[in-house]
Amino acid sequence: TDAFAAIVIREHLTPVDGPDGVLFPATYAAAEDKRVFPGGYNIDPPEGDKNVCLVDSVGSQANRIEPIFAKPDYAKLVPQVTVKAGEKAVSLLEAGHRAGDALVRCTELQKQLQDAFKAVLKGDAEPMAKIAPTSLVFGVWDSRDTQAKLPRLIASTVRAFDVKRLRRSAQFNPATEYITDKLLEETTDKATKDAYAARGFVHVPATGSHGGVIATGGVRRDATLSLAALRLLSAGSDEKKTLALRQYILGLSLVAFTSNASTYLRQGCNLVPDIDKPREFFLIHSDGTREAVKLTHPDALKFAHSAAKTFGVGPDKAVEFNKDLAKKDIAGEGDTKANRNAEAKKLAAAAKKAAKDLADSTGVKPEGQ
Amino acid sequence: MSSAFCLTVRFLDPVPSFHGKGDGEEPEWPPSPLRLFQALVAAAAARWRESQFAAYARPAFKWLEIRTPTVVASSIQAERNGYRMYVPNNAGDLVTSAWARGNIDAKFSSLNVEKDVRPTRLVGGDCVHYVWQLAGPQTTEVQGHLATLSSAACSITHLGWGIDMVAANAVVISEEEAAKLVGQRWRPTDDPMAAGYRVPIKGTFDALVSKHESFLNRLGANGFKPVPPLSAFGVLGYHCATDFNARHRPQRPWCAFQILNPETSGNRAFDTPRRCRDVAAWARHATGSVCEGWAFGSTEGFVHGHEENGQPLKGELADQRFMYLPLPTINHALNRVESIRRVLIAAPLAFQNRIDWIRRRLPGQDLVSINGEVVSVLNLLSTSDWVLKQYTSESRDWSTVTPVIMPGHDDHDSRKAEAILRKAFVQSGLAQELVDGIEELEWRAVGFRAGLDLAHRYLSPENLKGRKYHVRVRFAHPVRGPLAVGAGRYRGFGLFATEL
Repeated sequence: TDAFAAIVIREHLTPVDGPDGVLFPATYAAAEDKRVFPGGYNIDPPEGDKNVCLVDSVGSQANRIEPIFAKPDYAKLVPQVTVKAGEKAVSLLEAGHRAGDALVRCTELQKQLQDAFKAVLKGDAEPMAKIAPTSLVFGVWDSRDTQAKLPRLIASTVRAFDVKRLRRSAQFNPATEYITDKLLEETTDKATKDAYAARGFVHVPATGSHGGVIATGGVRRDATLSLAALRLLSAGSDEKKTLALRQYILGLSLVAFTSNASTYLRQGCNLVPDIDKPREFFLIHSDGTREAVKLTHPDALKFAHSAAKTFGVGPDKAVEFNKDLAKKDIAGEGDTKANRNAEAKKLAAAAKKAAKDLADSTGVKPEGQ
Repeated sequence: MSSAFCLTVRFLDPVPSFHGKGDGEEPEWPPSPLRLFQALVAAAAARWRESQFAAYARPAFKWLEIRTPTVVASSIQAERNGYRMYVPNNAGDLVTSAWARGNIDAKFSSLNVEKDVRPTRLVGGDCVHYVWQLAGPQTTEVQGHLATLSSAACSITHLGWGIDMVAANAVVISEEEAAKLVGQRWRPTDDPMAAGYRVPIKGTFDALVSKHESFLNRLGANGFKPVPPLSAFGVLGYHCATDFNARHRPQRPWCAFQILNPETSGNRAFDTPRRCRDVAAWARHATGSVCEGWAFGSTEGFVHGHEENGQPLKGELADQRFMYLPLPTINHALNRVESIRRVLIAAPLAFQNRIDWIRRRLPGQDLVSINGEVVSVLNLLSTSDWVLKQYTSESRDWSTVTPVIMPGHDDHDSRKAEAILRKAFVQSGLAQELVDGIEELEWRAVGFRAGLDLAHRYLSPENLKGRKYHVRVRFAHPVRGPLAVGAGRYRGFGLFATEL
């Protein structure tokens, strides 16, 4: 039904050392125009007491949540696809571009995934669900080949509100006084002094660096599961298969949505649920009305297993990284975006030359000149 | 009874933000009508496949693409603060190649690339409404289109970037309901300086379908055929009267002149309370002279302000006329209003060409009194003139230099008087929401500036008998002059100057 647009979660979190504890949000590099962003924490607006601080972004949250499907409790819900390269193995659940990642292009799965992306473009997501269903949950862009794009169904963000920015300073003290104790020569040469500092032979202060924040307005994880986007998935014109597909993906989405993803986000940022403010779930109707609902992770998991059984989870695959395919890809052979662009340029140049040749032979100027 | 088709897009993030960019890679707000149209087409294509899409969706989109919506959108945070991320570049094969060669220290993160993000944060709301006016009762055919578009709207899932998740729906609403929609109103405008937004035009839908087909078939037996970007769209100026952050506010086109003595040896001054109406009339006659046979048809309406039969202009054409605004000098040093030494002539927004016509022809023209005497000569006034800027700059605070002639009877009732004044501001061309947001409004017989006479002492133009008041106003958002309000606004009355 079109009546329901999304389910949203509001999950109140708190630092492990209490609501007034210091937490360390993500830091970001300065933008090219430092007036736009000078670097550091993403606090918006940068001045004033009322602000929103990004603790963990949508992409980062997705990268933390997706790998849970490799854990024992969830592994049967999705095919476990692993790529072995030398002594290392990478799960598709950890690949940055998911089913569109170059990692899997250079394996025997290349054709299967290409066909799955092409099927998606033609309105059939079932082949993709059989090999990389989490790509349908978290979104995927086949940027190196078909350009197929699927929007994410789940977006999760962690923010801190009304934060106070802290600074901290530190001092490195060497194990002994190398220069005073005449273990090293005293010098006025800057390069040597810098080398002493770089190698830990002298005292080095670090002042006014990032010192975390205190979230006076609390910390919250907001997550959205788009039911409208889920309804756009189909298995071609087969209604029964389409229903099974949607229920399967819904099950995975609900599991991901309700899971307790890693709360250790980075050093200094260990967040746990606020037991005084339980999770809130809302069903958002298409007209904007919000309806409180109850949803638990065990319920979601139970539903997911049932839906997976009906749909039929694709087989696990362990494939080898294929050096020959990689060499071809790197050398620019085969059906790649770069090749297609180069081909387009060749065709355009050929067309231009043909037009010029015609003009020269007939004395008639080509259009546009 | 007229109604409207309202498509509402609601951002689902409780800290709503939008990442879409307009032309020049600049953050865009509100999302352009073309962006919405494309999202709606994509939603419909995902919802109905192939023959169903052609049968259901095509007629509805062909109907919609030629219609221009008003956009009612939440306000946004003034500053767009950004951050820089480092994201994977889908080059994992290079890393795994290294692993396969035995280099196990190669890392995926070493191939990340920079991505700058500058979200537009919404404040005070999470919605954008696109509103198309529906004239009169809808035919069965149009009702079918609206039903199809409403269904398609429910399938819109994102607007902007992939992280801009939305829910959308569409319904037919009454004019009253449309007026109550919460948000800033962005309306199409003829102002050439207004910000341009992409809009669909006739042929946009077919172009989108064709582009998609080309994309799917870009690889064929004959090789790769690149797909050109969409070109079937228009660019339309949109303006929001209550956008505090607007880089440009609409301004009536105008030209201004010094009033010199007939010998052109110096300025000629006219007493404001007694001669304001005369200076306006002389300027009108001079304008009539230079507009004889002009390229824009009859001069009766636009220049002289009446129909061919002498009756007042009515209906949509009532405001399509010049305003003749004698400008009393504002003495900067003494901070008082003095005599008239300048005159400004303004036109409605879309008529820059008529102002250009008279700007070229009025310098050197005589102002001639009713008895045929040449009383002065016009000379083009520099736009840097300080006095002129008091009438044409941007400000929230304004007060009259000539009283407003009330366009209705207030029966000495202050509430009626306020209602009449507010209506007069709207009639002068200010947006209703701007007038609704007026923070302070005062009116009285005594002027709010030094040098002004009592309102009733100003000689009214012929046939304008309404009560006169001096007025002071503070708008919630800056307004750009010239600003003239009331029944005498075309003849120099109800003229405001900024209180900078």
